[in-house]
Amino acid sequence: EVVRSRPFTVGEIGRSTKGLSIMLTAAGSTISSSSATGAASATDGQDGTAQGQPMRDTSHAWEAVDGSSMWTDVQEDADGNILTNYSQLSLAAQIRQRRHRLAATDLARSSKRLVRHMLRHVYLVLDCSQWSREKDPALPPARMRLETTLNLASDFINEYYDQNPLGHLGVVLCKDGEAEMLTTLGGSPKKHKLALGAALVTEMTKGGGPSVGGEFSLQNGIEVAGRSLGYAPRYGSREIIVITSALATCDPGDILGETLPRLLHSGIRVSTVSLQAELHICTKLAEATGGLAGVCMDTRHLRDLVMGHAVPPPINSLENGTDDTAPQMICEFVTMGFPSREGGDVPTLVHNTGGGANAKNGGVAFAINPAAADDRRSNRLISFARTGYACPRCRSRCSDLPSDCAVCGLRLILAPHLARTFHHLFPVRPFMELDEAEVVGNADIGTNEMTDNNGEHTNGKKGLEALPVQSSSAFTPTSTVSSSNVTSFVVSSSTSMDAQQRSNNLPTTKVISIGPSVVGNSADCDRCCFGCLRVIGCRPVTDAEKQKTNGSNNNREIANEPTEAILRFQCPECRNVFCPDCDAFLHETLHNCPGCLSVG
Amino acid sequence: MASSSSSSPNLLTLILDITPSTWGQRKIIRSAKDKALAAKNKSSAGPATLMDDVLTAILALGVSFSCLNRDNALVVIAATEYEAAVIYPRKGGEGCMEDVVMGGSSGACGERVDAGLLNDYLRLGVAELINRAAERSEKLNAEQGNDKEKSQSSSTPNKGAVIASALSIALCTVNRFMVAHHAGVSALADTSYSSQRKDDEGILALMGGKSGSSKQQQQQAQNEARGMLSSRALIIQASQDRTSDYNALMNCAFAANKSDIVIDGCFIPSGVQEDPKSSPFMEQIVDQTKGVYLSVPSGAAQVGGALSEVLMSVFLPPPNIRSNMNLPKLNNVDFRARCFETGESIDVAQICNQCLSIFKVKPKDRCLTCGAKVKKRSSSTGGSKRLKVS
Repeated sequence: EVVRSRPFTVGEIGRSTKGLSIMLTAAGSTISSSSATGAASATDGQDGTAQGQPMRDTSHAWEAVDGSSMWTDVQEDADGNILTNYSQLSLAAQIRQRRHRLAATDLARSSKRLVRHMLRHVYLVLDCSQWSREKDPALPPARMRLETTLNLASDFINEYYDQNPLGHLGVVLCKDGEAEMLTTLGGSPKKHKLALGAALVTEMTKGGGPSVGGEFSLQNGIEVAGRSLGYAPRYGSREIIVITSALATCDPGDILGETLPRLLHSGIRVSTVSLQAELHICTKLAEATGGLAGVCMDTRHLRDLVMGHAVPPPINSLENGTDDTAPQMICEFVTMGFPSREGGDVPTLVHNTGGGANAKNGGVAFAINPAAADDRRSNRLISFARTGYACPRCRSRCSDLPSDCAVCGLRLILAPHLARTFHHLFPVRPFMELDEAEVVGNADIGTNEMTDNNGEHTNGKKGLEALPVQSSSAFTPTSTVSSSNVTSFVVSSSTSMDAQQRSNNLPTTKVISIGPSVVGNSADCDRCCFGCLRVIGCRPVTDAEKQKTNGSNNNREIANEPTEAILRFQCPECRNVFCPDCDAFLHETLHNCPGCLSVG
Repeated sequence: MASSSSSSPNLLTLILDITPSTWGQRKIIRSAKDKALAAKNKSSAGPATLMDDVLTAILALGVSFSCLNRDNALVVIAATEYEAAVIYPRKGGEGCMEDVVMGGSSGACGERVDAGLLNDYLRLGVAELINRAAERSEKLNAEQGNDKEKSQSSSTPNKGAVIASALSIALCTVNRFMVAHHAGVSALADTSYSSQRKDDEGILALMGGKSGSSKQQQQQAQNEARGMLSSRALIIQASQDRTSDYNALMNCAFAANKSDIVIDGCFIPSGVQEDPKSSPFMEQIVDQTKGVYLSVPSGAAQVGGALSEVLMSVFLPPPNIRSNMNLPKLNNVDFRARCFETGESIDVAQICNQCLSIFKVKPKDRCLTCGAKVKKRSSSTGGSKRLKVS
């Protein structure tokens, strides 16, 4: 029996040194933050070492940290939110880091307009073998990797059906050298989540340890999924996503010789996510079939990798192999039905997928055996309900949408479900970061230029001078605009000024006033976010500063305090400015840019 | 006062459609009708005009909303055909957005809604936006007048208001409020609040099989403890829908669903035969987010005090007590799709798997929107004409 040294050593083989250093920093920072996970992993780590792993060197950063000083390292941002990934980076740098990370792990290139697989059939192959029953210190706070995997699978199911309401999903579990289909391809999330929940409970009660779980067999898992995918219609994509913690696979045959040609022939795309180390077989399979192989570094990265597969993948040329026309130019038509909602006073028979007493529908819960449900008849349960959606072809009622009609097999969807996937076809373009000194505006603003102290005209819109001292229009309430009511803000330039500019005596800060005027687009005021009216990049003038400059000459240079650059983001199409929170909200949840929706 | 249902503060974002062309038309219709009725010594019978009836009704609604709870917050966004902007609270000055988000202005009452400011800002904001829109249309008309080829379409069609833009701004604002209370999507959060919440959904649904209401109560109790506002949006629309906005409106509806924002809709028809009586897009959004939809009956119900009464009785109650009241219900929302080619509503459709466009009859040669060739299974006859699609 090979003595396993600290898991870090095992991981090092597969990961680059850069990855390793980031992992260690991440571990160190979770300790120094005040979150409970930090405390848990500290104690767990100590427990692990106390259990007598033979070769243990004490060179971890977290071992030297005294737990009692955790609270001093807690930092808050301007709104009072605790910064949980405090790692001695400024706020702006953290935001930039997060955007960079999201862009880097954007496997499906979700911000580009690409031809994508909109109708997907995906099998999720999960590893429940002995490899996943170890505790992984890089993935706190789960007791076993299995727990992390199954919880992540549950989140993935939610996200998948959210992004692909027309897609199908199935789950396969691998343990004891065999693969078992937990749920077949189905169109609604309830079935999968119920089954996953049941599996989580049974597997966790089995406990950990090297004797439980058996070996992991990649070939069996892929074969089981592949056989079922072979029956899936050709117009949709066929994908297998393997989430594994194994370091070896124990197969009845030769994957590359037997399984891979069949995968290629059926056009199945295999992607893998490994929790421990990179497996050559996984990488080879993924490359050959056009999928993506990933190895996770920590919990956040694992989540990014897995959720990246929820977005519809771009079509690559591998799938329409022998066609001489470009693959993007082929399409197929699928017949789908749009049911109408029918309600009545008398409860009637309705097909549904079950899962819990639903008092609203007056239905009764049945215990279902997930393995017995085949894909078309996943709506096997019949209950009584007052309202249901009537299939246009066979008039039988169904209670959950989107799903396949239990009687005639027609796929039933609603128009909003289709609309939900359109945002993949028309994504919001990523916003560009805007420097603090730049001013968004029409040519009219140029006439408001102030000259600097030397009497020379500054160069147009790029420069703090171009900022209007007071933004107002004919409709700004003049009665309330007085020096006491209008808040003055200090805008400072964060760009490093070269010596030439410095010699011109250009002011590095400027006081502007942000008054109560309407913001129709960012040309009106580019220091506030167009979405939420947050004032960005200016800090209020303190009273001490107000006394220094005697109000009239606002161009005076205020002593340079190092202010943090607060980021502004600009939409490349409509040139409106947004704050970082709105930027995150627009790109991740809303998928609309309010500026681009207004005309001009 | 300590009852759980009324003590949580509310955030109401009001989206007001102020397209000058629509309301100008109404004014003309109204003055004509009034003259006819005055001749018979009868009082006015609508339709509502913007400045007199609708703004007063909104002010009444806003002030009574702020009286329900000290910490209620109100945000008013106005939309013309060209742009949408937040007109109350403003970005700076007294009672600015910063103050409202942080909780209470520096005034003595500490209330979040200042009735006087509301009145001023509302009227000034509406006037400013209408002015800008009018200038824009004049400029456009002048340009089109110069351009002889476009003289056929010189009569500007009645375009709708940019409700999608206004609704997106409303959702960003609500997100800002939520971020201030450590929820919502922020630039620093790793996992958004909504995805964290879904964990509960899986496990609780398995264990107890309880219906969603108990979970919702738990969620609400959690939110109250944080001092978070429960938010909703109210759209008041008078012009017809912009067909190009359907996708954007659906995106807003799904985002609102994720953050538990209820969207209500109010449509003010003009009472004239040819004008639309309702907005199908708004009906769909309201149904998706489980709100209340009302198409104000045309006639005397739109005049002055009557309109205020109608709005207050239907839209003032917050969502958590609506189950106890008898509010208008949406029954027949048409969820069927329209064929991209012929425009008729269809039940069974053929859908292109690349661009998801919907057709009644399967195109023979090429998909009409994305131009991809249809995979040939059996022999098919020659191609179809490429029709222009929206």
